[in-house]
Amino acid sequence: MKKNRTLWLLFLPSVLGMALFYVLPFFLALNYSLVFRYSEKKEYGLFYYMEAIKNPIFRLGVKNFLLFSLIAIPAVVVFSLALALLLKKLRLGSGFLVFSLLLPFVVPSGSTALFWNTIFNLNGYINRLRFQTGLELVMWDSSRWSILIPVFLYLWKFCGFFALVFYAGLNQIPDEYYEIAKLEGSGKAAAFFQITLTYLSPISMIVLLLAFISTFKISRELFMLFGNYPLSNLYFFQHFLNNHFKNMNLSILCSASVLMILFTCAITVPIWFIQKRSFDTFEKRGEFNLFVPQTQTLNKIWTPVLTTIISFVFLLPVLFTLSNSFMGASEILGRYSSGILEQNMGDLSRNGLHFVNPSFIPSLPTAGQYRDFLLKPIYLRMFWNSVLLAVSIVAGHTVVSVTGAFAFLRIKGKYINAVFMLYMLLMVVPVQVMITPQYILFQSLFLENSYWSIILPAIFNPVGVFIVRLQMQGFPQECIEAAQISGAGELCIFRRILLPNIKGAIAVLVIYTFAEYWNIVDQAVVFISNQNHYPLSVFLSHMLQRDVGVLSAGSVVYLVPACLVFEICLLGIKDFLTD
Amino acid sequence: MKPLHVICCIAILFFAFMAGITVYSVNAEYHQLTKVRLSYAQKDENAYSIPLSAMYTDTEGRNYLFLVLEQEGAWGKEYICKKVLLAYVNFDESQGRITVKEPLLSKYPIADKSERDLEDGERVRFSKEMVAE
Repeated sequence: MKKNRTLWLLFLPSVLGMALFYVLPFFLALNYSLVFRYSEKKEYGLFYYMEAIKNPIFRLGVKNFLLFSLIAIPAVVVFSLALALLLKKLRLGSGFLVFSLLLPFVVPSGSTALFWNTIFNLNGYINRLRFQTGLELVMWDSSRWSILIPVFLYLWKFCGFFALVFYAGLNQIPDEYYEIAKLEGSGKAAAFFQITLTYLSPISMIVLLLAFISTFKISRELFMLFGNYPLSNLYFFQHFLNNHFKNMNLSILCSASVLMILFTCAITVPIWFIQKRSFDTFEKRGEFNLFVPQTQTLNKIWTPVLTTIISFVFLLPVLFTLSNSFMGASEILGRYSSGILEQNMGDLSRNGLHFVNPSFIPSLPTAGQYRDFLLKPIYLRMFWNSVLLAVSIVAGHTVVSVTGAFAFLRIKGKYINAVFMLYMLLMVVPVQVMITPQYILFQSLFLENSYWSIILPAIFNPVGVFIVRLQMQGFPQECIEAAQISGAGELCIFRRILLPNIKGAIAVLVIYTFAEYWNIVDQAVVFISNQNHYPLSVFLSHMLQRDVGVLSAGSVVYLVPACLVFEICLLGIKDFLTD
Repeated sequence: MKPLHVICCIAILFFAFMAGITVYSVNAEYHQLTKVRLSYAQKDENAYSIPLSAMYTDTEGRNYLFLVLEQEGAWGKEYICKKVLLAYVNFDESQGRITVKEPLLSKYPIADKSERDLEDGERVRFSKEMVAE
């Protein structure tokens, strides 16, 4: 009995938090959306659902988003798998390459807005090249091809991360399988389909799930590049939610949120059943580690060249921001303005439209923008706001996830799988969709204008339990049983046996959570009304409307802690694996 | 030394630098603000009596003074001065004071002497010694 009590104590924080900040808001929103308020009278009905479904703008947003997902998810899976195979084939995997593949994942969205704008604008780099080669310019605002912009952003941001997850999976497949296949006379294609894809299927499910969650996150970049009212090709349902939030049209927002939650659940349930089956076979295969960098290299000439090329592609937007941060305000204006100015008279232009003239080396390097950034107390206040938020969320989330995952592993019972399924479902529900229900909850708790309204849901985010449990399942259960027979209590098993062995998962969790909340935009805008309390990421997201140079310098400063946390975690994993 | 320790040291240095620069820039900004002396209006029947030195006259001959308002700033409370035009002014030359009718004077202190000319909405500071006698 005592054993069970310890487990339940570890289990309760996670489950209660999830119930309070995810399940309860859903029901509040459901209730809110079903009540038709009209002059004191309350009527229950599907009125707001009909309004949302009939709303052509909502339908347009959903349609565009689905189109985007249908292109982006297969693309990211194919690209990251190809990249992983390339890494495996060439046995790449130096620390620097891993760093540059993962960096896009932690870079604040705001800091790369200017880069994407420079590429995909009417006066952007693509149009510059098309003009130089005598082709028609692309009108990005109205072109059907503009759906590729979010796809590009998405590929850049997540491809490296997923490639490393795939790479970890590829390294789990024993080389003997391929040798046997070769001996038995099967071709390369057969080996790929029969061995690689089969044994990669559990990892593919994880990637698919994460890719699906991540599609929702691309809306941040879209807001930054095209504002709240983009043209019809790029209008996503996130814009719909956002714009209705500004008008405090809560009823329709709630019904739209409930619809989206049901939709994501409808997609996740089949994935869950497939992945459960593949996980069951997968668990038996023993230890699973995310990110296993291999250092020995096969080909001495190609390795550095390819490493440099791949790293450069992934680091490009960051290098761009870095170079901008050392340019003067006048140089930035001259290089990126769409009009012809005094500074850019000699540049390429067409009918008064000046094409961008980006460069990685500032013509007059200056550190003035860093000075301007660092001597503004308001920016520094926002920086420390971000630190406060990120540190408290990462610490809280890690503790709750690790204890929760352990309890999930150890408690045996009929209902525990059902609860875990609920976690999986809620994990997939995107943040933007949960904001309205959570807003209603925090409004009734009078917490809507404090950091608690951001920190609490973040700490109990189900994704942490999922990641840690994945790693715990790979841990040989015999060790736990042996400890149990020798009389170890649950706490002892947790502290002495499991905790030292899941440091890798904890590091992954820290990277994931830190990247997520260091870049926080949506929740902060909704829940915080005082500008002094904004995290810096919100301010950086307005880069295109403000002083680009100073904010580039700010982005670089803001990127430093992200890189440091990230490098500490990677080195931590490496030390842990080599010990 | 392991690379992990090097990175940890860099992280500590970075955050120490950010903390230092924060203290420095908050202080630097504060010391650039115009110093003002606060004084409170004295209630005089249905008008307020204020020192003559608090009143300014612009080129068009309009009289005004600056009230000091408190607001929430990036790092704690901030004080800004708000320009208020005076409709009715009665001079009392002998005592160096004037009488004005302005209901806001009951709520907010006045920026009396200032080092420099003030502008509407400007942030100001005042040292304890300068708070009204």
